[in-house]
Amino acid sequence: MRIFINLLLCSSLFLILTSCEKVIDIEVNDTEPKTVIEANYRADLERVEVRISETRSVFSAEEFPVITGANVEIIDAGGTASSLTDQGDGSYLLENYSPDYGSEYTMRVTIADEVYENQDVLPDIIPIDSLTLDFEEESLFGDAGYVVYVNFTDPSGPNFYRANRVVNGDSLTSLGDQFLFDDSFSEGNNQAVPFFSSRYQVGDSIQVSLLSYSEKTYNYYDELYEITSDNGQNAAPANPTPTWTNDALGNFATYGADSALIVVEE
Amino acid sequence: MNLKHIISFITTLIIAFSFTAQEVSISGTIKDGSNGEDLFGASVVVKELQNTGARTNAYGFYSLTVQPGEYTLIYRSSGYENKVIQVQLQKDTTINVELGVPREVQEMEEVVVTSKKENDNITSAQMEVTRLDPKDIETIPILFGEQDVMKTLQLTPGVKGAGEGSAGFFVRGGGADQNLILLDESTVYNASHLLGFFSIFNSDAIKDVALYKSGIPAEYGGRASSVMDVKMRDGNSKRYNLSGGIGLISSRLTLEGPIIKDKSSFIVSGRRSYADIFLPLAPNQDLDNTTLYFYDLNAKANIDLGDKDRLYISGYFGRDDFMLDDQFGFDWGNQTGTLRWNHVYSDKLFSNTSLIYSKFDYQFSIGSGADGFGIRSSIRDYNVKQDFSYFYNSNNTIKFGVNTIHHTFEPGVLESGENVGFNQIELDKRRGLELGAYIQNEQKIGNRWALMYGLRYSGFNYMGEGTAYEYDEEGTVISEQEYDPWESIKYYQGFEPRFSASFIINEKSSIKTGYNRIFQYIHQLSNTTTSSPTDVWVPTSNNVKPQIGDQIAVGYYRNFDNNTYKVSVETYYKWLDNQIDYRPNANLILNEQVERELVYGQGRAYGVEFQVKKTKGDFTGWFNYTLSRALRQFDDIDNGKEFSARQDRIHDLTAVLTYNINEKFVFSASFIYYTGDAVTFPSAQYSYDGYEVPYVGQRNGNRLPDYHRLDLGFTWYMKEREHFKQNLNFSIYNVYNRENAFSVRFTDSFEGNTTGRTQAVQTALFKLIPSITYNFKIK
Repeated sequence: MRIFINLLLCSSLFLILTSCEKVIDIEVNDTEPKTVIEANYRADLERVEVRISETRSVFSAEEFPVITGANVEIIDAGGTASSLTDQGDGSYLLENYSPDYGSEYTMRVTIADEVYENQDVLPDIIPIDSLTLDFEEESLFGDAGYVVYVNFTDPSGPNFYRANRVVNGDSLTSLGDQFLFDDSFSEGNNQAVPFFSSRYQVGDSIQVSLLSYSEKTYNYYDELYEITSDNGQNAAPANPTPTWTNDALGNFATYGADSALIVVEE
Repeated sequence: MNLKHIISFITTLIIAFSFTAQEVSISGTIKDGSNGEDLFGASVVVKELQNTGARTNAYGFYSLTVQPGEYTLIYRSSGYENKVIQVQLQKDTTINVELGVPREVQEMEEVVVTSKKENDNITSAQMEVTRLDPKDIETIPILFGEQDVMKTLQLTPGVKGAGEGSAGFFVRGGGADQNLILLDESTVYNASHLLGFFSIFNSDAIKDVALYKSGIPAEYGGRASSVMDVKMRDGNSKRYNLSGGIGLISSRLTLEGPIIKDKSSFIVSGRRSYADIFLPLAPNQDLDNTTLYFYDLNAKANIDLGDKDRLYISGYFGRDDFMLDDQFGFDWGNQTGTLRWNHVYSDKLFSNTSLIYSKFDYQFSIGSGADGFGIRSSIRDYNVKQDFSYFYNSNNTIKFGVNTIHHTFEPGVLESGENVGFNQIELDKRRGLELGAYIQNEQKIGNRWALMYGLRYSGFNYMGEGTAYEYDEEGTVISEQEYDPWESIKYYQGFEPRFSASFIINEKSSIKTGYNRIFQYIHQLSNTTTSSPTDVWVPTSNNVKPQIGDQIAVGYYRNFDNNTYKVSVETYYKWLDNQIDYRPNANLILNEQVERELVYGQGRAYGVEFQVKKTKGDFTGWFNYTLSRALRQFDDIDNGKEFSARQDRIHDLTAVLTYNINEKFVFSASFIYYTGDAVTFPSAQYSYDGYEVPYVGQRNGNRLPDYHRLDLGFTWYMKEREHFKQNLNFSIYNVYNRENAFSVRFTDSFEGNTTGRTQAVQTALFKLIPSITYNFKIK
């Protein structure tokens, strides 16, 4: 909700009267390229995927440079390492890697002489109990239509979630569709969380995936989306808190997801 | 130097240079003869005694002590005709004087008797105070022809506006919350309408504006960088006046007159804007259902309760209202009220007692009724002040007094309609008691030296009712404690030495120096690059320490060509401690734990301000150039490396020109240039989760494009009758239509950009804006 309020505050307030926008030439201070490692262990699909790339300069016309030939391993809580296979395009893959929920995994990436490590705890998957619909009249949040609620039982202790949607076959992946939340507003209860800013009509099919994150991964994405959506108004912008050793950017996320589908009927 | 030393130093100076023989006092008031307004800073000089004289205080009261005898007293004030009185003084006497012939703009060449105090800037001890008479600003072209004291102050050296669309200003590298803005002694928290477009001060109701940038007198405290003291007019005590103006964006009306002729008067002044009627013409379609207006009302009455007593009551009420598309609303405003009692105890002792109320609040709402929700926040002050002026003798004026302010902060309340279903949130109110006690002497030594020295004791009691939290270094709560109402949570105190001195080299030139230390207990938190009324005000607490400002300044002043040209060079160095910045992604809205989002550090600012001012002739105006730095250093930011404050505008140049073409026409121009604000840009980008993510570079390590703009104005003084005056003012803001950067963002999806390459996109607010205002006065 905080993001919603912030967006509303920044949006229209200053575009009154005769404001205008244009492209300008301006100087930035280019920095040396940094290594970016995006590592994900999707536990319920038993799939570990890592993408290694580099930063590029702000106004560059090139593709993001990828790094091939790295040595990538995932290490379970017992110390057993499994290697990922270099796909040749900057990504590294390991499939059929069965998960041990509740345990901590380590990811180790070696590029030439540099070693980068990261840890994440794999939380239990919190299942979706059901998806329900509620009809809303036209209001300040949108036209008349159905709001989708995700119902699940939040265990005690802090929990962190993301909810993804695929609507009528299209994955919603724009920044405004990202829905990260935690249970701090109502801990350890049956939850009914609405996608409150969207309205669906009869015939729409909505598939919801509820991802269970560790606190570290939740914070990382929260900070990442904050900086990605910055419109130049933030006086204290900052990069997400580093999670990799040795100055690499990015995160290692271990998580599982449950999904459910609902089709809006009359 | 500890407190004992300071007190003995002060007493020694006072005793060393005072008269002891029997003497008599002359006291009274000096007023404007046409409307009865008190004249602040008017003076009386004894012709026979070199360098003996006195000035009036803010209430027009003066006091002078001499040996009994026969004297010629010359009363004068800038822009008025001198009044000469012969007196035979054997005992304490009261002499009240009214001065005539107030200056009119078109008579600038023909002022009947040129006031000899033209070299005021050379002879007064006070470090260069920027003082504005609203008549001065009548012809300067400001946005929409409105005479705006804040905008005019931003054209003076050392003062920089926070930028278009921003309320607030920076003085000598200090933060936007480091300026104490007073309206008839009441604190104003947000001095702008329309987000900085207009100030809340209606110049029809204003008598005097003084800005202290250094050597701040001991009677003021609470903000680290400056004091802007605005005094309202009292109202014409001789006859009724109606004046006003009608403009494209707003209109105003002022009614004033006597309650009892020559004894009491009132003034009521109101303004209302209607900027929204032009919104349908704006390019942005979303603006069709938008309302945007402000209004303000100033009212004041004063009553003479006999020779020795005077009562004043004044108030201000103003509000801004913005509603987009009937859904999204934003409104804010200040209210102030002051009750003051002047009492003259004797010819030497003058007292002022004030009771002051001040409130600032804002709310924003989305939707309405059951389908909406709103968030509001406010700050409310009750202030009791007692000030004495003791006119010890002609060379020493001692001021002392006490001041207590009770602050109540309401950091945030969220209320929502039933259909929206957000939980009601009410953050704890927070309270503090600010205390001040001061003593100060203004002393003249011989013909050349003038000193002002003083000490202020300053304290702040952060108290309940409420909960106080303690945090560890990462911001996790480690303890929580409840406090009862008025129970002290933390008490801070300290002494603030104040000093300024001037040495008159000759009647054309002088050197001045000043030093002050000030503690600041109220802070405005803002983690956006531009200020907005939602910037949160918080008190000093067990976690947030008082800000400390220390400043020294030295200046050289020289007048040329019979006081036609006034040149000044001032240099300053300022140290700031306990400055506040924010953790990454700090959330300042509705956050009970807002204090854990804060990090602390220090700052310093230094610079040289150069000004040439021409005050006589058909062409008048000024030119300023300031070279300065404003820097900050926080252990938690950029590994403790020093970085530029946002307002680190290295070069700052202003030129203002007024040309009296003839009796009827006045032309004016103003040009502003400054180095672009320091901002944080990305220094690289990377791909993550399918997004293009900026890699944030060094804090404030980049610059927005330089800001510059030219405004022109033209005033036509139309046919005048005995009881009626009128003029028409045309002005153009931003004549060459420059799009000055309000903010810059980086995006690869701007307006049809399909190359996938990131571009820097600048948002600018105001382009060329013409306006017409018709002003009138009925007396």
